[in-house]
Amino acid sequence: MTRSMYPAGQRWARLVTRLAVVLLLATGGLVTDLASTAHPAYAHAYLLETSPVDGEVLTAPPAEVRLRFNEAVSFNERSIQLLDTTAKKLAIGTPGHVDGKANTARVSLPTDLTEGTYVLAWRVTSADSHVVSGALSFSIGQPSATTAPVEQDAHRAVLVVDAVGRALAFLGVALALGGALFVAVLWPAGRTDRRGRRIVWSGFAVLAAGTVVVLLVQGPYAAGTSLAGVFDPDLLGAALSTRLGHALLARLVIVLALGVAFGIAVRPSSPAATTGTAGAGAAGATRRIVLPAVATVGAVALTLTWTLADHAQTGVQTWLAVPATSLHLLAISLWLGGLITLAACVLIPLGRRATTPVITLEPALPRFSRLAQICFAMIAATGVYLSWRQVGTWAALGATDFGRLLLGKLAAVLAVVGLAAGARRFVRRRSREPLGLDAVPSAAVRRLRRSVVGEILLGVAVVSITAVLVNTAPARTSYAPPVHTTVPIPTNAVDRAGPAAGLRDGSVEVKIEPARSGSNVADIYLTGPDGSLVAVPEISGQLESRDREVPALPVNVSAAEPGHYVANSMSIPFPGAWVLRLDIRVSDFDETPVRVPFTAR
Amino acid sequence: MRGADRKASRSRSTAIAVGLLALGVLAGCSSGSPAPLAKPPYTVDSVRFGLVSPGDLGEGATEIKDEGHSSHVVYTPPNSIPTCPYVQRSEDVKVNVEPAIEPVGGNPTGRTIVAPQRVGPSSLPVVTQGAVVFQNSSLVDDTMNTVLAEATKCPAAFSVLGGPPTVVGDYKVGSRSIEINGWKGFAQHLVHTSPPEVNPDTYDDLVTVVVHKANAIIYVGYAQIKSVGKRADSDEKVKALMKTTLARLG
Repeated sequence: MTRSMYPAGQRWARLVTRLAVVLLLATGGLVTDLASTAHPAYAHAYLLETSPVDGEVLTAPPAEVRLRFNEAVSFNERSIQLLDTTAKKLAIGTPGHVDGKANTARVSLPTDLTEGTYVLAWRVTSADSHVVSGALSFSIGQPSATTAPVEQDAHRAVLVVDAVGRALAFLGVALALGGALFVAVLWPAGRTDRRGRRIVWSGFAVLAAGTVVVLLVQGPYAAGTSLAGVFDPDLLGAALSTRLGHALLARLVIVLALGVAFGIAVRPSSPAATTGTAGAGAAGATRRIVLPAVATVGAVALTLTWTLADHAQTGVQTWLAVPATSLHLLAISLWLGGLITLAACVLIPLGRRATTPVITLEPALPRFSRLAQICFAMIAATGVYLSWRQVGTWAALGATDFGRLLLGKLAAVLAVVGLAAGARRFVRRRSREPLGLDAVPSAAVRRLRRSVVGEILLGVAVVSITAVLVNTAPARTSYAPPVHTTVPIPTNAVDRAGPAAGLRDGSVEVKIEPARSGSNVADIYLTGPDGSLVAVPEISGQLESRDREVPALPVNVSAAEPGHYVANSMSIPFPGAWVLRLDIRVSDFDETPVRVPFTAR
Repeated sequence: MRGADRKASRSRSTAIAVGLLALGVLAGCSSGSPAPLAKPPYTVDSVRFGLVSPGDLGEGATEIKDEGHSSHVVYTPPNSIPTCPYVQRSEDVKVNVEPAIEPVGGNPTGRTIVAPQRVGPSSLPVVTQGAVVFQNSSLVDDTMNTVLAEATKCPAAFSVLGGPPTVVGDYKVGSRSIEINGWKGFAQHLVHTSPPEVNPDTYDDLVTVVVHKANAIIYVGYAQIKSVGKRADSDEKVKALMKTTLARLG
């Protein structure tokens, strides 16, 4: 459809309608999120409680250690380790779930543990396939100095290979889906074109290879071992038993099914087909109905093998995030795979028109151009929503790795859109000319080819960034700006003649870092009206949750310089709204409470 | 390269714009810090580039070799790595904690002090520092683990009742993990307040930083005298200072 077919008023109406749809989607998502009264859900699993608790001093060795997380976790027999004071690993039982609950872990301990401090290091896989880890210590009898260094970071080589595997899989799915659509549907000559078929088969092969790489690396990644563990049967078995393992296996099966469907689709028609016999009718029905249906279902199922095992199915609005992410992935695949095939099979040979005179731009180029337009609309709509969902705030864009990667991806996508818009204008303008696209001068084709190659390079860059992005903690969860707030001291709470008289009309300044679940440091400054620090006889603290079922947690506050108090290991159990209640003793008899509300990410 | 039927000049402009965008991205990814003067593995000589010089501290600072070990703020044996300064003079500490660890198998640089001629509430700080270089990183890890284990035992508060007037008083200790330019370790903040009848006006604001990387451990004690009512800021200042000095080590 060309611009000239619509009057200006109708174009405006269409534009307004499109904007309204985008706004509706975004607003709907925001409202639903705000209306949610449940605890906020976060992408990675976090530890809610342990038994024994961190730092507990026991009189006798505990029979077992229990961990409870906010969401389902998976682990293997190496996921939990017990280290003694010299960092030596001790033999423990096989980890398992408590009463079959997927969000728990338990492991039995040896009964002959001697007196001293022990470190229990854990490393489990979240529902979004990301590994989270931590450690807790407990002592038997008397605490002792421990030298146990708990190495929790995954090996760099493992992370790199994992990212390469994911990138290969993304590139493969683009070539397989986008290439197949272009060869089998958009380009009439595609079914007989050897190069086009090779590109699609390469896509299937790269997709399968990338999937296998991710599957093999998942074991060492989850266990925190080196790349040497990729062929460890135990680790592979453990990886296959996880949600991600199931998704990767399903992906391989779907790849096989789609490969068979593509093979049938591009198979040369039998002689019967051309003579119009009953057999030909059945074959035609297969090509017209069964194959498209299988391909559509397969393509959707293929994208779900990503979105049901990554960030999309954890966090807020999973009901919308899973289809949105699937659509996003599908749209990018169809666009990039189709573009690569278009360039390789049509534009590049056409540039050498002297040697390949039979290739024309019609009708492949206009058809693909329309498809690309639809894909970009889907990419833009879903991309805006997914960005908001994964980032949450503007500040997180520049302050987190995820946000910075997303900005880089956005820059590349905008450059692609610029080039694509130029190409789209070219197609529309030339299509309106009497001789159509096949009368385009060679020089113009070469310029278009360069533009398309630029789009492809940028598209591959986008895919590469995405491969890293899916392995990075979403900004919504990783962004935790430090809390810095000031609360006035209640009027008349301080005696004019007391030891803390300087606090009259003063305030309490509190800084909490990193203000997220886990261990935090709180700096508390008691300042007088002139800004100078004022020391008080005593200060104590408690952490209070909005959830009435959570009891107030004691906060150990110690003095630093006069007027400055520090809670060096204030443990916040889970993200959400909290209140730091400070009881400030301002004289031998008087104490005044000050409540400092804050949000932990 | 916006479209095949566009003029060549417009295509070139687009190409330049895309190129500038790519350059911008690359520039954003690159670091603007100067090239380091030394790289791992460090030697006793090369690791000195990472220590604080008088020029780093400011005008009026001088550097002296610490020959004794009873007259400076870190107050530990020479060539040792501080873990809990001053604790050895306390009478009310219940746990058995060493004020410093003497490394085994390392080559020390010796301890130097960078300080102004006269120390007071408005003077430059006093920096007491040194480094130990090891043959390999596993020796460093072992030593650092021992240092960390000992520093963890350092009590949050203790008192010194006897001794020179400058050390008598209450001590408050807090420790935080730290990472500067890939050097990892801890920053231990120690505040010393004298008895009111001795000195009600000022307090000592001391931060001891111990960090390690590759085959070396560096320790820096940063001490200031602050007026009561003013905030301690040695923590921020020493981090800013060491960001500069450790950048020289790469």
